[in-house]
Amino acid sequence: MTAAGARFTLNLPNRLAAIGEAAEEIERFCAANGVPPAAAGHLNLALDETITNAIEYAWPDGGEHEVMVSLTVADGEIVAEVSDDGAAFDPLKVPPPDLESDLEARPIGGLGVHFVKTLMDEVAYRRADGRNVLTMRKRFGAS
Amino acid sequence: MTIPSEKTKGKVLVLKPEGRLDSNTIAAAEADMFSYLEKGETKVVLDLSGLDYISSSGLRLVLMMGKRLSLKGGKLALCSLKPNIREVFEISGFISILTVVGTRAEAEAAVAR
Repeated sequence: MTAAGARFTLNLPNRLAAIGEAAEEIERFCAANGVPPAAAGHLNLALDETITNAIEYAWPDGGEHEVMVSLTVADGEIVAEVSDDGAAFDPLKVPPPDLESDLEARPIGGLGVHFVKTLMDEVAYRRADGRNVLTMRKRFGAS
Repeated sequence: MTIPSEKTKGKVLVLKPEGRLDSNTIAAAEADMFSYLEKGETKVVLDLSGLDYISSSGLRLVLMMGKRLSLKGGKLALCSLKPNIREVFEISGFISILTVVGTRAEAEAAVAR
């Protein structure tokens, strides 16, 4: 039975190794709250891409920082919010990758944000109180 | 990550990465894979039967391998993708620009020609 409005928050250190660890916790939260494995998998990939970009680009001067991830499951939808206090960066402004060119011509890069937009039903960015906030939503029907 | 590898009688190098190819594991995987290319390997199969997860970082690495091999007149083929991995290759369009086949035998045959 799905608990109405189940919520889960993680504060990840800005280390890439933390992403894989978080993925397991997120998978467990999804399974416990009726999110089908396929949707949970898509969510984890979208979160991975978003958190990776934050870790790699948000703090050019380095240092220890946190990326906050909060998840809410309600009414057949999972909503994830990823936020950080790094340099202003709107991933939705990244140009889409060229998916048509062949092996030799294909430029490398641009894929992470493409996955987020493709795998999630809705993605929105805002800058608020000195933080980048990316909100993504995925609906899931009966599995 | 040291990627398990074997060389077939037909001089095909088969690499079998395990677990995750993501932003965290990619640096080690890249060093490993490119050291094989520097040794002059031109027929490479990526057996993905042990791969549980791939993100855009992993795809970029596979793409770079494919490009480098192609420039040397070599070939790359991927086989045994799990369904979630195959989906990522499809969404990215990579399934069309790389040689992706079902079985290892097909992959070895594809690069041996």
